Amino acid sequence: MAIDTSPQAPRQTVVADQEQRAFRALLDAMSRPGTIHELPEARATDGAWGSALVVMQCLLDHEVTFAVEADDRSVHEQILRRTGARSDVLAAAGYVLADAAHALEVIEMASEGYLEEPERSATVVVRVDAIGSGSLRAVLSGPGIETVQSLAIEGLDASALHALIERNALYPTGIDIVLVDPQGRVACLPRSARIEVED
Amino acid sequence: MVSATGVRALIDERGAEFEGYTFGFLDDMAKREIRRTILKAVAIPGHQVPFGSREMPIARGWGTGGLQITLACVGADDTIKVIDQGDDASVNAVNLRRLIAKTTGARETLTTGEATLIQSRHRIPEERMTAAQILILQVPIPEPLRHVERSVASARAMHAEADYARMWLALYEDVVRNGEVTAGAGYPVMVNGRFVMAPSPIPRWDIPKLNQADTLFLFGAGREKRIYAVPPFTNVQPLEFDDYPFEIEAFPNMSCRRCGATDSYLVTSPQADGGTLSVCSDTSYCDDVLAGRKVENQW
Amino acid sequence: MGYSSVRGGMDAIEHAEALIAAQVTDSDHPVALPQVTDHVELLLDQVMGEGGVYDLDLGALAVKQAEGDPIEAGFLLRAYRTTLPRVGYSFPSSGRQMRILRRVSSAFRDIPGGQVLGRTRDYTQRLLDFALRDTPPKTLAPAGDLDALPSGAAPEEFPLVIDTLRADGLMHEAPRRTSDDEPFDVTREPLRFPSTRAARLQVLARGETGAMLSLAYAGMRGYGGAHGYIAELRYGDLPVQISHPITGGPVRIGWVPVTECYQVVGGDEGAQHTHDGTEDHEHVQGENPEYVVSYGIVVGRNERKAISMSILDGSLKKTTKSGAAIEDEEYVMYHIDSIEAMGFVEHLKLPHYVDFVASVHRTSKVRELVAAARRG
Repeated sequence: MAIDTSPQAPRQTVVADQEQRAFRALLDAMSRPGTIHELPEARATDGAWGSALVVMQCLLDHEVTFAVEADDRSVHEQILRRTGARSDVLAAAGYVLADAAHALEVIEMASEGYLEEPERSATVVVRVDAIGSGSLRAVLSGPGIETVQSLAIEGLDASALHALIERNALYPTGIDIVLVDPQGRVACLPRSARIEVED
Repeated sequence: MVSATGVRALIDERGAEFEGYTFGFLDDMAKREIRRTILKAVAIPGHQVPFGSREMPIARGWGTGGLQITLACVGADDTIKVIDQGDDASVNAVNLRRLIAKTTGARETLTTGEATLIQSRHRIPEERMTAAQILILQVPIPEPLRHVERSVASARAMHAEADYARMWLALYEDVVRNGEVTAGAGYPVMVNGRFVMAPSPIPRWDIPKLNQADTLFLFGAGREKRIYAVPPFTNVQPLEFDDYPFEIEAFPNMSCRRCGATDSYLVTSPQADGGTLSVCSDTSYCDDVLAGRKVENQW
Repeated sequence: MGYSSVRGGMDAIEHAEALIAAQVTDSDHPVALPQVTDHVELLLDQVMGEGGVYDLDLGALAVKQAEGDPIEAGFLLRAYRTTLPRVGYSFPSSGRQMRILRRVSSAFRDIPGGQVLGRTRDYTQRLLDFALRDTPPKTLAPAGDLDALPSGAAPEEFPLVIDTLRADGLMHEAPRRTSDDEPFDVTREPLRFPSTRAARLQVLARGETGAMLSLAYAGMRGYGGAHGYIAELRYGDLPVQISHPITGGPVRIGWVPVTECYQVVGGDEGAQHTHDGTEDHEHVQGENPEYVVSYGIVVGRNERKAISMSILDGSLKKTTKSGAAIEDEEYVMYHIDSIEAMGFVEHLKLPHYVDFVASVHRTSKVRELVAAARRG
């Protein structure tokens, strides 16, 4: 049974609407590890970094720190300008954006938080070539997954996932991974996920 | 005394919004922080994540934590439902729902199955919730260890070490003294085998619904400034002893006076004639049964 | 139930709102906001300080709307504050920059710059003034003129009394900030323990007068406090300076009235105190005992709260704890915020019948067990 909505309710701005939809995609993806969700459409001019920027803009503002590890550093400037977040070194940053080539290094170095404050760890956004197809397969289980969930990834080296398994062995400290691809897809590997790598 | 009109002029000059309120009441930065916190909470099931809880236009202890989560989540495509004790008509539920509607224009519903976001105080709906829904529970005291360790800092250390010995001791003493664990609403649970969690003051009847559900559960404590989560398909077990197993409330030989249901949580009210009146606490479920609709309520 | 009873709940809420609105507006002598700002100034100061918004118009509106309930009025301001964008940050202000309207010291008979009794009820006789029942004729000069100091008095003429103690070697040098870290912001970040002194002072400054008075009093009666001396209690205006948008230099945009209290604790009691490692020196055992300062600062004229705050600051800084509640930062910081406290205490008015059924079920179960045990 529906009720009439308030006619004078404030409207969400276009940017705020995009951030809200990006958040809900991330929330679904984080709640159900390895499942694939669609991000809102990125700016055409952002090219291959579009999806990653949608995620970063959704989560970052001047209260948090970030680092970028990628061959193409132009995105660093874009994040600074659009979010006001402060740049920090990889080991201390709250949010890290990496291309697939730097994923291993980032997973090995990013902050894992503290036993008393495991939430003070890095969220790592990795741009891969494709999610949902590809030669690398991660088989996931744990919270958010009824039995097992399989995720195919293109462009990420298996060594990155092996490093992730090692980093997250001392749960609840650990790092949470957000995978994005240039087609606007997103999938998450929270630290609570148990991962087996098939390559 | 000096007026602050200088500051006001400065703000006006910067073009800041003064008329009315923004979408979802909270400013974008507050929403972003709550969203970051929710994602961390989901990644660490059962762990209480601190957040910079904002002052809301309703009182602390009246659902400000749940409300902040709802407002950080809600979007143009959402349909919201707010219940208190299972009842959409409860005055505080009505007040929260009209605030959400007034500031977001979100579509409202009283029907569990139609809602995408349900904010609730002290109940999980009888109808089995789906993967397309999120249940947001209001939490008065997020710390399950509070009655065995009143210091927030010490309780945090106990969670860090997964040192729940004092919790178990308190439950054991309860059994020794009273013959069983006497906790009624808000029975403590173990989440994903790692964190002891306060499920908010839901009755025991609702505790098994948290285990391996299709739905995401988010918990918000505004005054205590904590957010935590139980993702779908997560192990949630009440703390129990093998020889004193957890049991839920039973309503033998009772049924809802209104719809006749015998499989829902009943609340009783004394009557003028000295008798009692029992009805479903979940009004949506009661309406459905009364209308003869089939409702999947096996969680 | 169903739709009609939801409408019923809405009707009840709307009726309650109408009754409240009538109480505030239906009168032959409705209160105008300037009456609040002019005549209920101390209540207004308390509300603005505890509500975290310094704005006379908004404060007066909150007081009127809340029918004079200071906690409710503070709550209205805080909820409004949430919606305001943060447009910038001011430069730090120092008590040394205060435009003084009153200053007294109980530690010294005479102090450099002199004692200024100013506007105080301390030495009035508390007799109801029946002449005030009717609006008295305006025979006095405007209060602003009365408040004004002898012409030409400048802040420099009122050095801090604790600076005198420092010059005499009775107190350690003023602490220097050792880092450029942003101060902790209790309105944006959840408290973490142990907290920083910045966080503690912010929570104390926003705390409720009555709650702080009660705890400070308990401390003075022996529950964890220390009896210090008021080196200086002062009231006046502090400049608010921001960075000029074009030149980048400091520019004053206004003044905020504050009450400041510097309490010094020394001798044996001083030896029990050390300051925070980050901002102050550590007291080293075997050093000459010296005085340490406990600090209170409060928006507006509120000496009761400023003194209470300085007592609580002192008890929280103690390193040798007696175990009293007011030395426990979680105890003090979580419980002096009456806007939060009233919400939680009064939420007991909300329905709890679902929990109560759960509780009755457990109680019944235990009674059955007891009965069975008695039967053997």
